[in-house]
Amino acid sequence: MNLPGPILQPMIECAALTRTYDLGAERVHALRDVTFTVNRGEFVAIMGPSGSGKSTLLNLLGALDRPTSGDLVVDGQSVARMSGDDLARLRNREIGFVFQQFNLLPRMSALENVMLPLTYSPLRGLDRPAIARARLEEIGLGARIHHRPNQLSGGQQQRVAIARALANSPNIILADEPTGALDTHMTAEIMALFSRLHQKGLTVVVITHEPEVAAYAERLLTFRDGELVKDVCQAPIAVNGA
Amino acid sequence: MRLIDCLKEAASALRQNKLRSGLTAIGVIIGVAGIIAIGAAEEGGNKKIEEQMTAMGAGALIVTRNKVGSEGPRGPVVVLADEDEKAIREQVPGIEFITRELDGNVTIVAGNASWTPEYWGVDAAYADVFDVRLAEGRFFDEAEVRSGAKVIVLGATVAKKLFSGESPIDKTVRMGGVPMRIIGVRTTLGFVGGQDYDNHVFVPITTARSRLAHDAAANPHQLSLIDMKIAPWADRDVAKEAVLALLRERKHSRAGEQEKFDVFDPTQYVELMNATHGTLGWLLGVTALILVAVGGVGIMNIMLVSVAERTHEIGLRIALGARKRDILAQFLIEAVLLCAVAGAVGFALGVACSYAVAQAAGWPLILSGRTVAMALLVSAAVGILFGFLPARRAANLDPIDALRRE
Repeated sequence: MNLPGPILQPMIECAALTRTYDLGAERVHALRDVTFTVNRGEFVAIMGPSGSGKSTLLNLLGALDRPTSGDLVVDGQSVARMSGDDLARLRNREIGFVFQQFNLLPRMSALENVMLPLTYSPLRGLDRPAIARARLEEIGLGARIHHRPNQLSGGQQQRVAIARALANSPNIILADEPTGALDTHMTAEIMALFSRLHQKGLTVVVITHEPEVAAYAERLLTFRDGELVKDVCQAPIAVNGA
Repeated sequence: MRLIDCLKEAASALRQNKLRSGLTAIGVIIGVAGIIAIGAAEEGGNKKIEEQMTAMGAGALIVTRNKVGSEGPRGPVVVLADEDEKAIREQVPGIEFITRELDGNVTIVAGNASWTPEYWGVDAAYADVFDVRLAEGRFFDEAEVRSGAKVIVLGATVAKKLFSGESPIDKTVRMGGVPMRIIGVRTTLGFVGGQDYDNHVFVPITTARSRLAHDAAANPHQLSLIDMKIAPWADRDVAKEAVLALLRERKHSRAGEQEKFDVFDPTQYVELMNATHGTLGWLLGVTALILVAVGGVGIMNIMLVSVAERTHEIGLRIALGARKRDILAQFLIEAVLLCAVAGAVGFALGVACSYAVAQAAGWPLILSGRTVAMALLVSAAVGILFGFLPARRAANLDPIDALRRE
């Protein structure tokens, strides 16, 4: 467990977080009374078998869904009471999504894909191509900014997707099985990238069912049947700083 | 999302499916082209009809002879004569122009060609009463009428029959054996009420009397008609009553009695014909609007397909921070852009068609602001109207569901 201290600042606070779905007569508790806090700069892995509620949690953390009861506070803002536009703003400014299938738009170049979150930014006067180019350079794809997704390898596509997640300088990276579509070598490369982002101070939450991926995190939350069953700190795999 | 980004996205999405976008646009293209063409035909036609209307006597009064009572015991009675015209001219106020008219049929020979149109023997003022416009040459003047000059102005049909496209000006034709010099050709008026309005020639009334009319020797002052134009400041009905009263007095006939003459006001008749034309234009306009609407349904259909195809993309955009209104705007603008491009193409097509029709029908190409605005407005409205439902469907997608879909 994290010890309370002056530098610990809560980034994600779940308080009795519950999400149920009404499927006709049946009521499914996808998430039941979940309480935990992720502090700024933590690298957390969320594990659990399918049906454990980790996808439901991801949707809630990503402000794509609202809890049935309980509260979720992201960077001091309560998600449960937010309007649709405020949720959109939160997704745009605070959260960077990374998906298993990369989810790049095939008709756009790497640069245009990275610019996408910037087009939805409420900030005016951004030099969007320059920001997107800088993000791609930071993750080592500066030479491929005009390539389309189908001209890039899986690992490269996921790096473009990570550059896109970083476009608006969010505080949180939310990754859903980010290495599920990659081979072992690429997995190591991508996870090392997450570790470096974490070292730079970003809060990283990775959902995975692979222990070798979870091993990069410094804290491991385990879910089963919609409940948080285990919350342990661990020594992460050492990654050389960038 | 800024408008310029929406436009870029929309253009890119449409380019992605060039064939599909093009096919979808056809409905709107045809509809807009139709609106333009019909609008231009309507207004060009109106110009033409205005000309026809004056030619037929809108704003004029025509004194006619009634057949009843025209046969007296000593042969045909002279019902209208030069003195009647003089009396009207001098005594009825509000007459701007007045002309005598003596009509008949005559065979005209030019080289090997011959044709038998009506001749209208008139004063020079006829050109003012009926606003005669000439395709070439000139109308005869007062001096030529006084001297009984052997000059003739052809209607368009006569010119075509006798000279088939060649300019007949200054050529000589033989008219009932008399050589006549052609000094003018009237513009084409076309068929009015099923009657060819170009199948006549004008000659000075003096020439008609001395050279053409067979009974002129017996009744040298006989007239077929007296035509007059009422001044714009005068009341046509008042003038008509004044003419009637004067003629009754001169002919010793009482009101209610079967009269030997009549005063005909063609204006109402002409306006009725124009109204028919207006109704036709209106019907065609509605047809074009229906075409555009059908095109709009096509656009709605393709936009629904587009939304369904891009469900995953929409989910992604929402996850990246797009608000409902961003998604709505994106798809709405895509539909509007498609309609705008279709509208522009339809506009060009419509102008081309209008030009061709105007050339063929011999009326001016008139594209009023009203027509252009109508076409632009309709295509934009179609885009917004038929783009809204698909766009709203896109904006209301559940991002979690949408992201799960491939």
